[in-house]
Amino acid sequence: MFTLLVRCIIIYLVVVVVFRLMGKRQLGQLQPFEFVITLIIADLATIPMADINIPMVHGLVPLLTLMLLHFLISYMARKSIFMRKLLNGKPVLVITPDGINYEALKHLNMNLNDLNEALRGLNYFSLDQIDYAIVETNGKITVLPNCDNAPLCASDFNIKKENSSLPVMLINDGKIMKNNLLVAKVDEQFLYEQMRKVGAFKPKEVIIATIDNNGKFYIQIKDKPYVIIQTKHKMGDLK
Amino acid sequence: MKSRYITIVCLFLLLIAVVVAEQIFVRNTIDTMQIKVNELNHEVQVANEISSSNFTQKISEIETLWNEKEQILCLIVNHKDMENVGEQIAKLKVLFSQNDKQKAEQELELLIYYIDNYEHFVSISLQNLF
Repeated sequence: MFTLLVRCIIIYLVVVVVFRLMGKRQLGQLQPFEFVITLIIADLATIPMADINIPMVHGLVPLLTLMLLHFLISYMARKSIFMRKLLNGKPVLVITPDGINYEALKHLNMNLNDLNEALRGLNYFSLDQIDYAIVETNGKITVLPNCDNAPLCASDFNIKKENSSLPVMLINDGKIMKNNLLVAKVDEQFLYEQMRKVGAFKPKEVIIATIDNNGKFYIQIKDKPYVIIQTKHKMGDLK
Repeated sequence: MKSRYITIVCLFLLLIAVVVAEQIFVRNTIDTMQIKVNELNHEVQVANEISSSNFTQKISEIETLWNEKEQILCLIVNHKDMENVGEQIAKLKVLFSQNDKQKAEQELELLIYYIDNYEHFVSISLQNLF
């Protein structure tokens, strides 16, 4: 039993490392070859985990080999367009302004119900709302709505807006993120000044504090609602 | 990204090292076992009595050698595949002490078969690959 326990821990850690090294994609975003490798890895990991007659190396060596293979295939897909098409396939237009491309649907082994279901999932309940729909290589459907149904944006009204900005977390659950202070180009003195404005004197009292490119400082103290302070600080180079 | 490539290259080299080390170790073990067991088989065939201390000593040597190698082999080989060799050696020890030459010859043949079979099983060959 103890052997099983130790094996379980080791294999789990190895699988976590393998998946971590393979990248951060979610299951729904996997390309076909990634999906296959994920399935095989999951299966391989259980073999030496459950049977103590099988040496752990019999599970670990194929696991690491698959990971290396994955890197090799990913590298080839990145470097060669031909390999990318071969391994990932290519996006397919299933709806054009003329309507549904039935041949393309047949080629994808999809039926009209599948297509409608996917479109409803994207909040398109009528086909005439859509100009183009594309089935991506990872199986997801992306939609370009026609102009009557496209969401309005500021440029439609000729409104000039400030560039959107990325907030940087300065305090995370009571802890000052020193690296982020450097990224945001602020120092601890600046941080304490802002904290004092909302009545906090120690970082421990703060749940979260962020600042964005435009100097908007967001802070929330424990058991109190958040406060936004417009500071004069501008980072400007965060993208 | 660079560190990731270094990790991958290290893992690749590690895998190659593990495979080469396994092949060398298994090959050496099988070769030594084959020589010792064939030698013993030959001696048993020409001898009239097998209960002498010479045979007991030889089978004990084989047993010690196998036990030593088994410690490492079990890290790389399915444990079930190794059981047969250990069992045969234990049987031979009993047969030598009982001076049962006919049975001992049979069991020795079986031991040789298991070791040869094991060699086919672990060696790099087209049959094993496909």
